[in-house]
Amino acid sequence: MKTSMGSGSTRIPLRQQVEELCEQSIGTCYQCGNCSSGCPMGPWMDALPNQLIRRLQLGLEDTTRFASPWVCASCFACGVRCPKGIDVPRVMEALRVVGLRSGEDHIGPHTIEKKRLSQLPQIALVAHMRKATG
Amino acid sequence: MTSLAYYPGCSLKRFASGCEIAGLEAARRLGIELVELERWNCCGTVFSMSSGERMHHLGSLRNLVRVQEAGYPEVVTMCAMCQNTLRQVNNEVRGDGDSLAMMNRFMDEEPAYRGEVEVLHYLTLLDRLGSEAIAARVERPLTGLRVAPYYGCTLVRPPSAGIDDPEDPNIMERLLEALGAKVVRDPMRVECCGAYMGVSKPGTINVRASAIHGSARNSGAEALATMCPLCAHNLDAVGPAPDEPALVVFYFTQLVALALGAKPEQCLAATQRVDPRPLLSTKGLLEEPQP
Ligand code: SF4
Ligand code: SF4
Repeated sequence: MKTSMGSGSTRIPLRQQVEELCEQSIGTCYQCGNCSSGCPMGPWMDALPNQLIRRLQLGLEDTTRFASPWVCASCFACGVRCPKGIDVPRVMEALRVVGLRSGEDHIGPHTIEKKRLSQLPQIALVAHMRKATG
Repeated sequence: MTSLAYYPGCSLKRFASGCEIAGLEAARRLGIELVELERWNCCGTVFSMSSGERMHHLGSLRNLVRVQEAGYPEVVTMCAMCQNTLRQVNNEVRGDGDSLAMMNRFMDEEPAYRGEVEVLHYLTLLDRLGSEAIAARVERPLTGLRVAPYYGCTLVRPPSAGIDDPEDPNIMERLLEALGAKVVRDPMRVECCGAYMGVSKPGTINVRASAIHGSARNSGAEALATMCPLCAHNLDAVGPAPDEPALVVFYFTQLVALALGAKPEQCLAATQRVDPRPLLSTKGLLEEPQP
């Protein structure tokens, strides 16, 4: 079920939402690309972590349309490697939370084939559900 | 015998039981009794990193309350992910009195958590004993076994919840040396295996596992050693692409128990897809230790 609250005109800008959720400023990112170069899931992303941050800096509200946050494995590597001290995994998490608040889950038991479901360890299922469902 | 509180977590009671069986046996042989908490629940698996999601930390906090109730200052975990999640939640409430008060209000049926419990990883516990003390207890040195420690993510990152340097950890290397193994330094030892993404993108894990196995193999390793049930699942049960060779994947605890003289049955996890017996047998490591 899709629930929406409030009207479009009072929407908080995406960058502000993200910065409040991840409790940091992304203004200091100077686009070195370090976060993206070490990202294990980069090959499956439609926008790399540094590109998402640039889009947020530019105030591009459609940045929620990218699949990258749902492909991020929360490995914390980008956060350790950012020379500006930006906790990039938290930015990815904030983008997921914004997406989930729109009411749409990105995974569910029904989306996984029954046979695979029985073979997947619960640690993987619970972790993924926690990241991709509201 | 020293007694410490022990939090197993869900995986070690299910598919990762081999990690626990060997880990408890190894601890016993080192004079440490790990006392499982009478009641415990899932830690939540992953730490919720956003300011609006603190409710998800209740699972971990309840476990810390259980440790406090049992009167232990520390709690030991073997699972890398449990350690990480419990530590991050603990750090958050300890660093922020308001957050601790709020979380205590959320669980008002529980005694208030005071924020005093320390979360300790099994490897840190061994490291505290020291390489010399461990080496002195080795009955079956892992001589000639070329092992690449694989840390993955949650043992070392974020640094606030890591057990060693996030980019250049050495704790497993130190311990493996004490056990007599030949340590192989694999450049991919702190790179992610794909974690839970195998659920929605199964193909990603094969690619990651191929890279990690390939890098360890090229570095001269015969086996990988991990402390994470999810890494073990991804690297062993899923593994590299079917046409590529796969190394044996051990839980680190299996190697410790084996070196300390445990019976091979206590050290061989039933779930290992790549059978470790041929490798161990060529090194003479399935035989009874020499007195
Ligand atoms: S590593 Fe940091 S500064 Fe560099 S692009 Fe990524 S977020 Fe920006
Ligand atoms: S935390 Fe996510 S975005 Fe950052 S390096 Fe890991 S997979 Fe990539």
